[in-house]
Amino acid sequence: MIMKLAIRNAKRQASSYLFYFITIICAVAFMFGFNSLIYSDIIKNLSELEILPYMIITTSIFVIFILAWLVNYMTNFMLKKRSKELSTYMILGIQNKNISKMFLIESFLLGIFAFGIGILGGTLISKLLEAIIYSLFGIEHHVYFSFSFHALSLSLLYFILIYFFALCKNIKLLKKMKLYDLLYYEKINESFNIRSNFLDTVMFLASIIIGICGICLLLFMPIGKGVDILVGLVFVTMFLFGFFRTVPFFIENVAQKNFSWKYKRNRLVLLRTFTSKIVSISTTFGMLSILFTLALTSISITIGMNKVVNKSIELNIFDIVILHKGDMSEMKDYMSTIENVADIKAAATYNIFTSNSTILKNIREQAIRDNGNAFNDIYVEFRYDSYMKYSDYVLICEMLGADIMDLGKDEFLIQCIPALEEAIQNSMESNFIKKEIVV
Amino acid sequence: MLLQVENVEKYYGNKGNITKALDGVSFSVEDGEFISIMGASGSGKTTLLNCLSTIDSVSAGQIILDGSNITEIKEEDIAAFRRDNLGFIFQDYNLLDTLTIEENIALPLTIKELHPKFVKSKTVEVANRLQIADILDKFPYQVSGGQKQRCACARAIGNSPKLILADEPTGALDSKSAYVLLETMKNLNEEMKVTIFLVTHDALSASYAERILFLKDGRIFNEIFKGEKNRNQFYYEILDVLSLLGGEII
Repeated sequence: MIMKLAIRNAKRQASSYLFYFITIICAVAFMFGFNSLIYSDIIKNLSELEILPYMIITTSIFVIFILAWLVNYMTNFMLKKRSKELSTYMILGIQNKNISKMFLIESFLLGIFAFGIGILGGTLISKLLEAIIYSLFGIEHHVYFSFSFHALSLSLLYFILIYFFALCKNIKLLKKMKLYDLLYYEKINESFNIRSNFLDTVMFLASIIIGICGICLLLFMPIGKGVDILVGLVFVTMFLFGFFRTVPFFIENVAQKNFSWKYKRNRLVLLRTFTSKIVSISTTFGMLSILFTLALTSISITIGMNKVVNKSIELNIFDIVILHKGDMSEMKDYMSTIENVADIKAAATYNIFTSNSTILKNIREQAIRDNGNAFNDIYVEFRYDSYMKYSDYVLICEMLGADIMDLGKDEFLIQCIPALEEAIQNSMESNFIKKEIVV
Repeated sequence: MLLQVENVEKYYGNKGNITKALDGVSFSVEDGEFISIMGASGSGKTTLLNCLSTIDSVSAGQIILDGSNITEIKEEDIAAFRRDNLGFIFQDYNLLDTLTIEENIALPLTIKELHPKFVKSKTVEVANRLQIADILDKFPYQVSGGQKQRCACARAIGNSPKLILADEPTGALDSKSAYVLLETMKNLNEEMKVTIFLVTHDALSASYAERILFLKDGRIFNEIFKGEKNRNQFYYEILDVLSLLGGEII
């Protein structure tokens, strides 16, 4: 009878709590999708991107944490909702350990179904993720069906661990529960503890300030080198969590001081409904908003990086450009490697020289600042002004079919983007370099 | 004597805010008796029922059911004690929606691990007695409130418990269903010698009992017996006591 009850209850749970059932299926699907990606061909094909597998593993762990939270929340929620039913089992003389056993069987059945359907959905998601990554890296590919048993095993292991911990917690709770508590659980008013102390107001204001700082860091990026994004995200996360935790207390504090506002029209009911609801679900709200923010930020960063890569490909006039620090003769190794892959129509190898001069570099930086952009120079070769031989320049111009400009004695050419023309010209004039400038 | 309640006290709350729900309640119930507890809201009648049914524990005193002190039963033995000795009828039926009416009645018997053939025959027998044999294959949501309560009643007596505890069993029923249920309970008491402990605020329901205890502020305020009186006379006697008791009877 216990088994029969458990099976029927599991069926009912799936339909009564369909929303949670679907959510768990989705979470399993995403977990399997990311795990499949770790073992997919794309990772092998992009083996030079050492960071990619770690990024995917990090995302996978993130999904696992969400799933763990969801499973725990769901089983706990069901337990509370079913207090009356559980009390009936107890009244009829079913021992707590048998009720726990029944709950375990039900959760197991639900979990198995959610996992099975989630894996099917996850296979589709993994293909979608593969397509997105291939597209981001501009690699042609064909969609074909594949199934990773490694990913399945890994997902199953994670799922079992998550369910195991969530169920252990709930079964422990069930074993301790008293019949009286279960029977009258529905009649107990929701615990509603609104404080309105000074510390909560300070925390609320602090979270707002941290949030503004985070948004400023993300928008203006004053530090550079990715630190702004990282710190900005941490700040925004802190803000979201702090905001949802303290906003009801802040509102309460304000409302207590402004009773003339509070007791007008139906504001009292509105205020109490709002603050009580937000107190009950503040953690859930905070967690969800953090998840959405991080997901949106990750998507924005990915799209941004993709645009940068595409733009740099567009700006490059050669099919292949290799920057090599070291002896010029070593370039031959590159050539032989490239020849194995494709025929070389034309190639040129040249040296870039630098001095300790930073005149042109400073002009460029100043021009960038004047245009309102933050200075974000990551290339070592641009730390000083760089030069090349005129003969190499001519060779490159010939390769590109560009006009070649003759140089006389004591003359030099400056190659720059049109936006820097005026700045360089002004600088030259102010430094009394009276030469014809060709840009 | 089936039940002996001796100086039972029950306190709720914590330091500085203690409510005395039961204050030195003592009485006894004979085997096969139909006894009712009446009282105003907050008088302690449901608390008393909860203490008798092991749903709640007492703060002081003792409750002896058929020679066993139920206040000293170990936590792990309580479920078995309830299963073997008590039958419950609640206002809101407490039926399991995933089981049919037949399965709801059969459940306590299967928990006892009785032979399936016996479970089946016993289920049909009590269903016939309570006139719900025609709805045995239906689920609780498919039957009326009165039928649900008779199912709960069948479930309670199926196990042949020593004591049936009924908490406002007619509270959610219309007058006709309430009448049918009370008549059924009366018949069970008279024909099967089932001991019934009925908690109610309704004078008409209480008039079906042989004896009524009136609770006020956690103490027994009065006790009346039906004796040779007919139900109508007893009903008016109850109303008289209630008027003496004062307060709202809800």
